[in-house]
Amino acid sequence: MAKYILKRVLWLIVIVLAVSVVIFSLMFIIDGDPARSILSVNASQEDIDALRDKLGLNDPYWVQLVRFLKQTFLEFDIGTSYRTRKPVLTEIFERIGYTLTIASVSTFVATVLGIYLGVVAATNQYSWKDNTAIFLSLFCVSMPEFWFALMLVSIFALQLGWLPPLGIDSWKSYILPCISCLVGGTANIARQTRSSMLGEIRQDYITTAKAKGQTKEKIITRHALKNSLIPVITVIGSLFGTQLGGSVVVEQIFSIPGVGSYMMTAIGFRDYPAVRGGVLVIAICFSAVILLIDIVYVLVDPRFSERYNNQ
Amino acid sequence: MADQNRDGFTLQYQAVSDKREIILQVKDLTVEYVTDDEVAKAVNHVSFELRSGSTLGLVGETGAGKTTIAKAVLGVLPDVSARICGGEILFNGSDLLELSEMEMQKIRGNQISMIFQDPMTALNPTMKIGDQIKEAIMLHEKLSHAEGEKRAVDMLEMVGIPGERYSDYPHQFSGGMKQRVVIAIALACKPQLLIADEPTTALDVTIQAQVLDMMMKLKMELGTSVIMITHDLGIIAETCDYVAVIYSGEVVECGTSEDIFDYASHPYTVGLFASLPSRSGKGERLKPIKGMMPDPADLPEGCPFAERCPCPEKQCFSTKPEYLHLSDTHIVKCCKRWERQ
Repeated sequence: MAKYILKRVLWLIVIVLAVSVVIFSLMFIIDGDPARSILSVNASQEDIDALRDKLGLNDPYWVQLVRFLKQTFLEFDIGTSYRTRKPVLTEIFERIGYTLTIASVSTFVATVLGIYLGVVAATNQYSWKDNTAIFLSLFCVSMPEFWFALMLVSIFALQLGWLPPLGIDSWKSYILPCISCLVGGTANIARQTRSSMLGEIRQDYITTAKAKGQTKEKIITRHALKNSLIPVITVIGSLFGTQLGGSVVVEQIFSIPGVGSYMMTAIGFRDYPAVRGGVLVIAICFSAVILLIDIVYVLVDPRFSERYNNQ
Repeated sequence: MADQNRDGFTLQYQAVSDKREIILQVKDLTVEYVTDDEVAKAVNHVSFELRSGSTLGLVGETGAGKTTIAKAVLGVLPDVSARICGGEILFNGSDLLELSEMEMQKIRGNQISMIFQDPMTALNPTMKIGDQIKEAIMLHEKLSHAEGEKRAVDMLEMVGIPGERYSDYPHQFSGGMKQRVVIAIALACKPQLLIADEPTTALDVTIQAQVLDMMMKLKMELGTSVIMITHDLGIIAETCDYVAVIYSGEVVECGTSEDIFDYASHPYTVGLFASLPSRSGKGERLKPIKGMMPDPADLPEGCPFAERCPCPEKQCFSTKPEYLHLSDTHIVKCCKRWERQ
């Protein structure tokens, strides 16, 4: 197991390296000039050229790439933002708290709610409860996040005035963004739980548990649920991973100064170090979450431990 | 000696000399599986008795309704599709079909338990095997967790698995070992009645004998009555006092093992024995029973075996046969007036 984790950590390094090259190349290819963004529209061509030289932007692709990789992976320096002239890492750490809070809260609530709904649907297959759950989850999965977020703002913030429409002032400000983030996830988790639970409750070991004299509720909670969790954990993990990158749309709509909105601004400004730094942090977080999922698999299903050891 | 019984299912066929009390009496049991477009009659008016401490074999081919009978007795038929349409299952005198789910839960695993056909799937893959045994014990006995654990270890050792393997998971065991665990679960509360549903079918031959021997030894030790479901006549010969031959959801012949093995009378039973490979007839072709069992969703009007019978008569296709007493212990459901030779 330890060997497996070590192997995965080594892989993580490779992945992060690959992501860095890709994001560097993408930023190199796309149109736009950071020097012009920095100096404002009226700057003279000479000033712009001088700044480009200073930033090293006139060097060929390979030189820039190698310099970037060397700085990042050997000197562990992601760089300073062109726009704010502050170290990118400091800026990301200032903002990641908001993103982490929203991601954790919405993933947690989506997990609890989604699994509960999925279990209720599966154990009452074809009843009204099941049909309602299926319809609702289909609706929530298909519904665009931005539309739902705008609806929430218009109803609960603007019309009813219960909750603040934007910014982060108190815990109340987190409610609407979290709800917008968790609806789709809840629906996904519920659908996955339902289908995998339906597969499990037809298994022979369920009949064995019944033959022992176990009650229906305990058969579901002690036997079927744990076995149906593997695919659900995958969904939860990727949900959390995605949200760690900051739900860009939601952060924009609610003006939350999280990682997502930071990246959005950075891309618009052609703030190369900020974009690269942001993507790197997200890639590392995402890989870490995936590794965490793999470890959770073993806790849930002991057969995975053997599978890992044999690899 | 032959004596025709007109009312079909009120049978007093068992040995008058067998003074052991009747522990289980199934009367006129009928079970259907209902799907959207058809009704499959899986068990049709089945009656049999089991005396305390004895072993009854239910023998028949796949799909004859053996497992359905067993699941009906234990009350673990799938509630969505299966429907018990009639009959009584008297266990120690009380009708199990009348009991509430709560009351059944107290009986299941405690007084009646079951060993399932496929040990590979019968255990929960994500639960320690010791805990799976402990669960059965804790459900029916008021014990502390430590005591429950100790009892589970004892059960493991009783079925020949070292107690240290308590914390292992099913995937760390072979098929035969898993079946031992399943047996340990079934016997954990010393049930009065054990239903073994093809307990050795999924195991390879060398392990089969071991598992059967162990089951029979434990049965003797605990004084358990057993219903042994199998399609293997060898197992029946080795383990059973009484045999009921099931065909198309009906008991077509029933009697003591001697009755069935020495005086097989129903053409289906005769066919079953004839289809066994014999040791003397080297190189001879096997003699299978021709044809297929009728579709339970579309049962024939007359005798369900008429189509495959080697010597059918005209009436076999139109009227249901009734039970015929060949001796005090031996009955057969056939239109022909058989005599025991």
